[in-house]
Amino acid sequence: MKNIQHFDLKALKTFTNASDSSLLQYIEIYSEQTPQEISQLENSLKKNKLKELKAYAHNMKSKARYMGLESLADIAEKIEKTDASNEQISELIENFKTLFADIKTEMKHEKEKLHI
Amino acid sequence: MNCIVIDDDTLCRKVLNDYIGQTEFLNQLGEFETPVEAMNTLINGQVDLLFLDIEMPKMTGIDLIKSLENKPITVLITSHEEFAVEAFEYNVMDYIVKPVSYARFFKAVNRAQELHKKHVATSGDEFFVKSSGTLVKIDPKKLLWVEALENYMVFNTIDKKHTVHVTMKALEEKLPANEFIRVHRSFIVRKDKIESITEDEIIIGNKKIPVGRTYKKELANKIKLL
Repeated sequence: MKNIQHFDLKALKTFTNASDSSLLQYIEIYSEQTPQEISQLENSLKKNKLKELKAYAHNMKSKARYMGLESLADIAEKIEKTDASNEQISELIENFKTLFADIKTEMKHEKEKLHI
Repeated sequence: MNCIVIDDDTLCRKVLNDYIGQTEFLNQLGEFETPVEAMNTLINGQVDLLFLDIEMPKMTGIDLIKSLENKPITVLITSHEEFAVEAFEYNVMDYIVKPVSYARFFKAVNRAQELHKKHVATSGDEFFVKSSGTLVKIDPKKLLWVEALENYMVFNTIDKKHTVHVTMKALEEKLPANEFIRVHRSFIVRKDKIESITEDEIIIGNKKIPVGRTYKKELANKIKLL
């Protein structure tokens, strides 16, 4: 059975009306920034700074939506709106990381379809 | 139309920059990560259209629009829906929740362009008035105040006086509303030339201009009081 594809390059192109070179830059900016943002989430959780953690999650949700990554945005939203225990938040961050790893692979494949 | 983008997020800025680049009638003067960085460009007054994020560290977009005396046409682009009501109190033209599609962006900028055209058509430009049978060019930037005398208006500019047959109403429509204030039944003054204001008078150079009772409130609204 084919896995569900999370990243839809065509949809992003329609949404932004962007050229292939711009799409490539969006993918690169997103792939580069997200791991840093995940680290920020983890650090905030470690320090128990929940307000800061939720602000980061909010930004991550918004960016995931820009890229059309609804399932990733949904996890970020859960973190943003959570009143769960730190353990459960940690689990959500892990889910985010796992899904992002898959998406990064998808993005790598999709990038090859661009005509630069 | 000259525009700038203020957003602390790289991806959002990049997308907006591309949208501006795709839109023929927009000319981007700059992109800024914070309102503070954009301040000089904003104060220079060349910005017609501002794309502004709300949530930014140190100074929010709302703080910025509150602080600007002459703000450009403003489109707030934010991931927070909850600020919309407050934002419209500050006279922003549009409020778009991220992610912004190009289609939605284009709709906003088309409206901004219409507004801008109207503004340019009615403000800032030099115009001609008939004074003693001659057409005389008036540069609103040089105009200090205008005084009505029966059926005539006396235009007091930095270097000259012109007596012109025109009505107060027609003149008010011609002068940029953000630069001139009607302060009396018979007086319109240029806001940035006001030196001081007393209980009943405005001082411009050696001239004392009366402030009408009914115009006091508008005057108070239009000046920036510390």
